[in-house]
Amino acid sequence: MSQRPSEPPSLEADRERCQQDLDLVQRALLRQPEALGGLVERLQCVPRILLYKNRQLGAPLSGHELEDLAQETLLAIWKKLDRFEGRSRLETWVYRFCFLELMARLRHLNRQPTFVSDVEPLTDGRSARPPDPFRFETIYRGLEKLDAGSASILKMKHFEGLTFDQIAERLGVSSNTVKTRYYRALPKLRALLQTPAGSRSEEKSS
Amino acid sequence: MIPHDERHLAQLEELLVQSDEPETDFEGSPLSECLECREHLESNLSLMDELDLVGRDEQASLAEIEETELRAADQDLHRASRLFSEISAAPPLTLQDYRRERPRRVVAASLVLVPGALVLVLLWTVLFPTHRDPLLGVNPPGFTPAGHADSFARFSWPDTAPKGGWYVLQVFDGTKPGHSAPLTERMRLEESSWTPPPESEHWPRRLRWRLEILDGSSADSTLAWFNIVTTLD
Repeated sequence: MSQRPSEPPSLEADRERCQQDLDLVQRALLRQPEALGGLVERLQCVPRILLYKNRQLGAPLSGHELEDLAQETLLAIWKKLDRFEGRSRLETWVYRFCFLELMARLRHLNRQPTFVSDVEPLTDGRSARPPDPFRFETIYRGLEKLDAGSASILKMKHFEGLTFDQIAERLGVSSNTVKTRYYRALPKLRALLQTPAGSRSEEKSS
Repeated sequence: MIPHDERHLAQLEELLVQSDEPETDFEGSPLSECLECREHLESNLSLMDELDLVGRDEQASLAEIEETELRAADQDLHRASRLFSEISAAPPLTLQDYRRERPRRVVAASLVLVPGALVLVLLWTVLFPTHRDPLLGVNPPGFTPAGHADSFARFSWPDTAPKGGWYVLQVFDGTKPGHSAPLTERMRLEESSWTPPPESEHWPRRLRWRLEILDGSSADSTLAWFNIVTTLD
């Protein structure tokens, strides 16, 4: 499986694609037929994401359950589409949405997934913890609760693989400002991850 | 070992910001002798690794999904997309649809009653002019601020979320169109009130705020939502 691309796409091109996605969503929300067609086509990724993640988690959901989930997820996405702000590509936003819906369904059905990530933890001794999908979910939900500015920097750094200099360029601030915000965001996120409401992984692992 | 000092965290932040190799530079600094600072750094590094793992999994998954084709056995999943396609693309009813779905006499009655009502409204407006904003009078009871308000110092609403549920609050500029970005938003409030930050002093005099009630079973467990319009007197 491919890992993070060594050369992220140029910031300008990336920003332009995000803006195009935002434009598509806004026009679809106005029910412009052409945009709706484009959106429906782009949202074909929803069943594929759910199928892939379900397989990756050891197929805890059956085909019928997955079909139901795909329908409900698509409707949920449609309902919350006005929250898409173009901070990422549409597929990336949808991916996080699908993952959280899948994990919520697994918790609801009390199914225990077996995580089979192809991404190995870093082997520097700090990440002894094996990948745990409920921990992943906790982190995503923690990022949702974090203030938008802090969450955005953490996502750019870790999810998009940008350097501090690249983030600084994108935000139009100095690299040191980005680093300061980044190092202040980490303890805030850590505190959110320790709150009971977001600690399903701790419940599961205990 | 040295005892932890209030200034240490600021010094540690300065070290991290200035450094390209935080761990190495930390070991060479006096802060490495402080147990609390060491724990702080290690928990930061551990969280960075976790974020990195989630991020790499997301990127690898997205790359893989792009290549994933649905097998014949998975084609049922396409039904979901088709259903969505139908729902999202359903156009509003046209007059012809309306005629098909409603008895003609209802349409005929509407053709008389609607213009009549419009004439009455126009007459009322001319005879009893008012500058009140009609949206300000249609807010549900128990929501503050709503309609004409003295201040935006505190937002409150009926405590109707079930046990384990929460509220999502978004505050919008009431003078801008519906899909503008919120002035502020709180994604998880467990109390039925909220005090805005000091910068709310600079908010416009007319606000629209949206309260969503979730039952807590998932991030998409909306039970109800309300849109409130308010303006400062």
